[in-house]
Amino acid sequence: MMGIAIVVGCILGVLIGFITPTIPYTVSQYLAIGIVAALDSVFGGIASNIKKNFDMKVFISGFFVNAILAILLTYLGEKLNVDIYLAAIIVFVGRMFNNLGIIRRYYLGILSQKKNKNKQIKKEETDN
Amino acid sequence: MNKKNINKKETLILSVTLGIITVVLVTSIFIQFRTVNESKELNLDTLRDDEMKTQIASYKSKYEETMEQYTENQNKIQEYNTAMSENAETTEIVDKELNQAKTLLGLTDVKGSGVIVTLTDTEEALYTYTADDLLQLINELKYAGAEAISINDNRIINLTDIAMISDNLIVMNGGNTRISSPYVVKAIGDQKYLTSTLSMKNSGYIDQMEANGMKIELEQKDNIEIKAYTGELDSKYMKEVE
Repeated sequence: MMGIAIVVGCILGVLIGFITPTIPYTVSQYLAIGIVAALDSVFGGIASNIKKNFDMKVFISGFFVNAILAILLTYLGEKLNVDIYLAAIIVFVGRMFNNLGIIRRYYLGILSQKKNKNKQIKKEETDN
Repeated sequence: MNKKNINKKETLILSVTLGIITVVLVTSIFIQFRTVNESKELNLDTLRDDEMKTQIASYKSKYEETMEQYTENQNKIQEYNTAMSENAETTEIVDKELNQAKTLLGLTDVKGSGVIVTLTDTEEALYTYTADDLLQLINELKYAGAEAISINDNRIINLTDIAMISDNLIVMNGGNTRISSPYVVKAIGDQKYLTSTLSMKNSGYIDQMEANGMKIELEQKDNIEIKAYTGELDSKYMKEVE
């Protein structure tokens, strides 16, 4: 069910993304920061799902609020002539790598467990 | 049963929210892709500062190149202009020379100071004026330095011939022009030389003619006009030696 929803969402997103007109370059800067923040939320959600402490409300609020805050901060930085978006990118991308590391370790653990099990089965077979 | 229902409801809500979130995320990502792609094409409105800087730098170098070419072309144009004016000068000189040559040949109307010799046939004279008389007069005028001579307004040029066909009929210029008395011979040149040459005692032309009882008048005039030669100047046989 969830997988289907994600696939349909991807297809719809691609279609809508191709239909809608492009935005001016100055605005695209903010959108990029928003995308990075949203991606960070997505990976954070996956990681928390692995940790078994996934909360839908936290995920959704993080997805939107992080993106909007990042955009606002970038705007503020533009007004102050400080590249705040750099800090936002560093934080978000750092967290993305963190979460990706958690996801990677989790699946590596699963893989090695399976292998161990296979070995044990084989051992038992040879023992027998 | 109830628990399962709740679970189903939860998963449905979860799926829908996840779907919406993916739609939002993927849409924004693709808009961004297209925006970035389009911005790679030169569009000054959507350029970033650093890109703007590089663009400005490249435009500057282009501008300098073009300026160099422009100045080069300007110099060339100036060269051409000077060449043209030089050409115009040479044409002027050539024109002047041509006019001079024409004047010397007798192809232009000229005026200046000189003498007018009028020869009139009279009954008291021993004979009427002959072509030889005219030729002699012209020769003497030339000897005295006449620059332009005409008989009855027919210009004497270097190829002019004067021939006698019969009594009272003298032709000039290959028989095309008939002249008769009175013969008005105009000559432009030094008045003193012309007069003194013609009126030398005894051997002079006037004395010679008057000795034969002919009527001849010499008149000095300051503003004599001599018409141009009106015939055609054509050479069939002679060619320039290179």
